[in-house]
Amino acid sequence: MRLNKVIALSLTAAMAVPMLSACGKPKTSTVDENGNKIYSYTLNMYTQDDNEYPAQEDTLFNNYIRDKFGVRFDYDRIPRTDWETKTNTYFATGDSPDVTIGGKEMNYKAWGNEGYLAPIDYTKLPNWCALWGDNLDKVVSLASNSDGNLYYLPTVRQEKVQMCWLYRKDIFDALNITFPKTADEFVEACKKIKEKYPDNIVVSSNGQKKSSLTGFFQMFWIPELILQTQSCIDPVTNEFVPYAMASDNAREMYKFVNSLYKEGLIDKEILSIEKDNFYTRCAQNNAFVTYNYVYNTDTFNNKTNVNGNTGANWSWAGNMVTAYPDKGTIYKKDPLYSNWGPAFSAELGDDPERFDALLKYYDWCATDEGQLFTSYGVEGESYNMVEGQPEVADGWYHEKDSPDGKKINREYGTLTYTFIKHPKLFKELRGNQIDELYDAYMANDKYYYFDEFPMRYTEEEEKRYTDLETALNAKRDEYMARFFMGESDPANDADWEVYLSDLRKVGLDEFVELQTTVYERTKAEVQ
Amino acid sequence: MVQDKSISSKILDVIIYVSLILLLIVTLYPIIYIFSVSVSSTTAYESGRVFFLPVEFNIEAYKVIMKAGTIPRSFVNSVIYTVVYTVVSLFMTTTMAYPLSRSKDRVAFKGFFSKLVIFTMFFNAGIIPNYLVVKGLGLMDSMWALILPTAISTYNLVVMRSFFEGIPIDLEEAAFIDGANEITIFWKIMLPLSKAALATVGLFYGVSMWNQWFNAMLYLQSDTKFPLQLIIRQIIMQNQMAAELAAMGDTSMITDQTTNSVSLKYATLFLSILPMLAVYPFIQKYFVKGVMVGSVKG
Repeated sequence: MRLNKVIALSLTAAMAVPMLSACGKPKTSTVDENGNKIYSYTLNMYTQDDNEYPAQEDTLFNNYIRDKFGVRFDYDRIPRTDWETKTNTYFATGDSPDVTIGGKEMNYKAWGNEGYLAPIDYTKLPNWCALWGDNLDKVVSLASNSDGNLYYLPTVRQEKVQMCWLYRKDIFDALNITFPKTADEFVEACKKIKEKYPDNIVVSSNGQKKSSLTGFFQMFWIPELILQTQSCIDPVTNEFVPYAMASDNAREMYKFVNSLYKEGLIDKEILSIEKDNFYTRCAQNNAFVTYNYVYNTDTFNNKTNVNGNTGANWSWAGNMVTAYPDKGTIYKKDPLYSNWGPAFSAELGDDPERFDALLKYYDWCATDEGQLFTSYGVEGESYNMVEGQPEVADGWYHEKDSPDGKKINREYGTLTYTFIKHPKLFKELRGNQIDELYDAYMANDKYYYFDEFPMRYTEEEEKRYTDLETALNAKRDEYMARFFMGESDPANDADWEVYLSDLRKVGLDEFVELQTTVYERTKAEVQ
Repeated sequence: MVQDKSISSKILDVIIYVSLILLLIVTLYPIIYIFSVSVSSTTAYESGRVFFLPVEFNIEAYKVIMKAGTIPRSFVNSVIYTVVYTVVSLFMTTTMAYPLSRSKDRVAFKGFFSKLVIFTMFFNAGIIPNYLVVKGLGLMDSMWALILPTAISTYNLVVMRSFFEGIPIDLEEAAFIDGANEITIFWKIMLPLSKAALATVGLFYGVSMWNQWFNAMLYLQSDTKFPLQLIIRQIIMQNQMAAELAAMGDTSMITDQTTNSVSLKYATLFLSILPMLAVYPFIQKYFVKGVMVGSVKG
């Protein structure tokens, strides 16, 4: 009996000890050997591979910012695939990380609405503000929540354009055709290729599902990101289109793709194809035209020049294609800012001293010195200045160089955070293609892009928007597949009316009214 | 049994054999295909030339896996978690199932505990309360966060209880007369008689932990502790995620540097199914017997 009591007591103690030990809170500040205060922050970030983050806590980066700003980070590195689920759990359980740098605007806006994040007084960040020049108000307006608060610090978008039509120039040259500029010319070009290669697919996609169809969207004056934004403003007429995928232009676009499908010119699996399948298409000469990123030509050439193929030459087209040549041509200009960046927990916001110390560090990241540091590390260690430009030092490398040596990201933790890459690094990573593509587009007449507009919803309107959008998206996607695959005929008035009628059943009219109201109100406020 | 030599019987035999052979092919083909892709060149796969046997045989993917260290390390983690989880779960399940299988006279509040157990089959607290419990107990980022919260499966507990109920009470009474106490009876009589049930329930536990990734994703922070299934999930999800992010304007995953080659993906998948393929034949004889536990009475 005595033994039983001892066992019972031991088991109770074994349970109690870890429970008690878990009750303590981690220290948020310490003092170094010189008496300086060092603030600690939990930093939530995602990782894509083992090599891209600081490997241990005493990296050169940590030591540098500790000595310079009195801040240090405790990393929680989450694989990118799991980041959203895990971070949502953290916030929902009150286990909020002090800093989050993995989110997108939609995450931050949602967490801001829930009260998980601290509003940022961006006027305390003069160097970050200076990154935007005259566009600061617009960026803040677009990135802020409906309550008017900014909950994250957006990142500068350095790419002006990225998307274009890619095509097999060797095939086009052999058939003596140039890349088309109008929708009619596009069909003619595809037909000529089909005539020469009757058993092959002409237009395919590299596995980006619906987004790979956005080249066709723009052909018919529908914005590339319409599947996310739903509404747009015509850049020529300035007319507001509250639900573009039910517009006349959308119908014409559906008719166009449907006709390509019927004539066997487009990949029958275009809505479901995976990236690996696209590479198989390339290897089997089953892709001659696709809409994609300008810098993917080398990859596509590598995937095509196999199995005895040698002369494949994927090139980017310096022009977009339009169905309305008299009106002009649409291209996708990249947005003013990338919708990701650091955000801070509401708990951190309640501790102004710690919060301000951290904001000071992040503001420094936006300075020229900070840009150089977050792109190249420390002069004399990871890089040297040669003729006024940074050169990576021997034994160090960036992601595109040889992996033998120290990786700058890992040692200096540059992912914690880079608001803008040093221009030289940007060029090294992206090459000249982006600038060349932009120049090529600008050399054409009547080229337009859909500008962003900051719709300012009230909290109630935002909730209603989300509900309606979810229902409309489901119907839209269903009919998109049906129109593309010929199950419904967009040219047939009855079929088109059934589509509109189904959209109305799930709230199209209310959505149009909501969007129009918010647009008109915001427009009045902005003006 | 008298052998039926009629023509109809023979035709039926042929149909049965053909059906079983087809079933065998359907079952085996995916495994062979996964192996073949894992030892074929990426070019051969992307050219659509791998259907059954390897094309342009090479074991580069396996070399990469071994060199990278992540997958071997996660493989070892998975083995450790599975073994420890199976042992802990079997211990906790049997020690709870045994008293619940005995008469009310010997176990106080038996009815209450039985209902409590059954209750958990229908009602689950959900992710957030579970997370708070694990965090509150200080188990975050430790192996025990994967093992303790799910150490007892109600279904397996009911199976074990039914099995114990099927063992004649006379054996216990004889042991009591010989001077054995409850623990001796449990340890030296009940458990040795329950090998089939232990093997079956152990397999259930082992397989469930081997395939587990969600709790690991939620509770583990150090990638050195990740189990294999979590790594596999990340590898498989990458391409899909790249497309989703690209649709939102984030091109960081669109280039090939961040995605894994097909052969690497398939080699990892093949490695993940090997342990279960190796273990199953040895416990199959218990398994068939064990799954019938409690299904037939009298």
